Amino acid sequence: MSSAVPAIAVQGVTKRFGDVTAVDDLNLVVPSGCLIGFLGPNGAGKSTTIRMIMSIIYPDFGTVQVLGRTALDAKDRIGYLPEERGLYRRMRVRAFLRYIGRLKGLTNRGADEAAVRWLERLELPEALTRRCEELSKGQQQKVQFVAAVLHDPDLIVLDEPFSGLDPVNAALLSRVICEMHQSGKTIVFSTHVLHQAELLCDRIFLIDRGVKLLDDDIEDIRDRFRERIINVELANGATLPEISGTHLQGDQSSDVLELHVEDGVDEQTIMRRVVEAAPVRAVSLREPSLDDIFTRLVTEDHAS
Amino acid sequence: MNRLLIVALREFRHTVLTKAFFIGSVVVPILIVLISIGADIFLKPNIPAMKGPLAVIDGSPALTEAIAENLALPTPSSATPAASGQRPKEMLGAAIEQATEQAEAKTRPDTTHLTIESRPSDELETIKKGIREGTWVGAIEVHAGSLESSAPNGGSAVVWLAPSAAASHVDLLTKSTRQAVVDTRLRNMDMSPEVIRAAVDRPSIETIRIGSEGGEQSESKLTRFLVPVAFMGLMWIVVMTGGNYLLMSTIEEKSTRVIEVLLSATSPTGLLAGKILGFAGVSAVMLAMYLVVAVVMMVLFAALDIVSPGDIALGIAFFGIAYLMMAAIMAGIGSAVSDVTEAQSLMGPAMLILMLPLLLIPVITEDPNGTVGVVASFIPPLSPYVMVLRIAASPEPLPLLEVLLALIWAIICAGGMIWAAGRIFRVGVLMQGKPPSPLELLRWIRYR
Repeated sequence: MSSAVPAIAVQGVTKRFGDVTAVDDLNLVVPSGCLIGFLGPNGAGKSTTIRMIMSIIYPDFGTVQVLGRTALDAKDRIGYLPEERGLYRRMRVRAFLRYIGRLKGLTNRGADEAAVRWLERLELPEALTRRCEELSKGQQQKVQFVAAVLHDPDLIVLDEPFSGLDPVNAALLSRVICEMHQSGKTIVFSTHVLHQAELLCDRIFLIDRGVKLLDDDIEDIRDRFRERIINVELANGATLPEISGTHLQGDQSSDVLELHVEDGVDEQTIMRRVVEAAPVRAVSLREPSLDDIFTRLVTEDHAS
Repeated sequence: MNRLLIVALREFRHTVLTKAFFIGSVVVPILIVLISIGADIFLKPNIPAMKGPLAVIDGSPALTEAIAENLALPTPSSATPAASGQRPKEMLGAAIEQATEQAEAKTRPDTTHLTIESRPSDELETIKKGIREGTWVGAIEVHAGSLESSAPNGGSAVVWLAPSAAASHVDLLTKSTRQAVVDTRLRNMDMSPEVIRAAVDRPSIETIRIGSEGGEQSESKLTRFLVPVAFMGLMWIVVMTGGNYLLMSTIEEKSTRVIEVLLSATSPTGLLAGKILGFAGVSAVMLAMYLVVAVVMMVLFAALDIVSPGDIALGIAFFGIAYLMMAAIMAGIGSAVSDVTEAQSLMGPAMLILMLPLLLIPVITEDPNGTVGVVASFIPPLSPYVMVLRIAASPEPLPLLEVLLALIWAIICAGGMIWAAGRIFRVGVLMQGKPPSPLELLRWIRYR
């Protein structure tokens, strides 16, 4: 696949369900080989966008191209782990994976070999001969992940891949996702857990109420939203007077405060003033997290 | 392999090659037959013998003798076997009649140790006491004037029995008393009951319809009613079972959320088509199994001429159409609901419509070419069932043009229903929450 061809190209896409506009005139280009995070509050239009990319549903207007083809033609080259997950309860894992593998263009043998390899990689080789209903929720989730990547797709769409996983398995899955990314796969990763997106993604797409708010490389986003924040943890019962050169974010009566340092003001000076102005347990300086950027953009969008 | 075929193959294998299918479609019917035979052999009803004296109150010698005769009558189990030269359909009818008589004979109590005694009416109270104590089997009191041929309302009689008397005893004494009164009346008129019985024995009548274009077509109750009902019933059961499998499979895939994984690999239309094809195979296997049994039965009774090969071909064509219509209904319902409980609320109205062919059986078998039959032949989803019923029940082949029109119209309707089901399926399988109203279903059909 040529790297010049974007993995996903969404142009002027609108999707309505009755009177509700789920996605409104969306334009999005996902470069080949990147790991992009689809972020947005509940009902923002993430899953609808993903379903259109997967050609599970179709846009009312606009076009979606995946791997240089129509989404329908590219189905064999896409792996998909939907947010709403499930398995055939009575089916054995081997039969289930073979069935999905066959649907994705593998032979029986190819599907069996890939299933064994992936289950071993995810530390679940014993699941192969068991019925799906006999597996724990986390194990079922791993099997579903295997079903998404079994056919070695070029584009992998993961909708909330870590939900239901314990920290150990979440870390394991995280490593696997990174490895796939390093091997050149394009990965679309939808999540509510912004911390995970921040760690994994090299590009962010933020959508709210069907409208794109942000679509850029994560470093560019950080540059654009670079801001100095001083976290202040006050001693019991203490209050902090107004500190010039800052503005306070959040509840003033709380023991934990966030001071946003204005441009041209030295943060070290501000920190000294804070310590002098009130008894504190801790004062620290940090850059805005994805969470901060997300909250700010969504709040601004809702306010507008 | 084409994705449609992969889906179809999975649905077929995971239905037919399961214990549930094997047990439900093969083991249970075989067990029913074996249990019936076993029950017939080993579980003979425990009919207590009638032992002791039976009083005939104020009975004339003739009446007493007639009662004794009727109680000692041989069982009719030695019913006449089908005479050589009988037509196959009559042979089958005779066999059914014989089986009924044999079943009746099995419940007849042994009367070899029963004695009949004529007693005056003033002893009745003593005899009743004896019945309670078990020294008398019972007493028969024929009311005065009942032996006259002019007795009002056919006369009357009382049979006195112990509270613990078996139902078979009550039945035998009632029947024997009734017959004995009639026999005595006849003898009082110097007539032989045997001769009269022989004289009033109804002859067997063969109905032969003369075809409008020559030729003769023999007809019996069997061909007029049982065969059409059996064929339509078989088709209804098989189609309903196949449709039910499709419904349950769709609900499972939707409720377990596996549907979205499948839709990432194949289109909704391809998935639905694969499922319909897979369960068509399941229905075909069931139909083939039952047809083999039917053919074996027809060979055993030399009744292969009951249906013509042409009728069978038409039956199979209408079976396919009936299945497609049923599949459309079940796929629509299955994709619109989230679980079996919700499905039941939508199945109610659907079942009302699907039961209509069964309700039309008496009307259509009576007059296969009547207005009801002809009109119902063009109303989906009744049309395939009604056509099969009419083809099997009609004494003459249905007009070719009418059959062709009904067939083409049914194919168009089935295509339309499948199209609408596909539109509902596409939207419904991704919907969760409360099931849609019929109006919403119509809206889903119009969605892009």
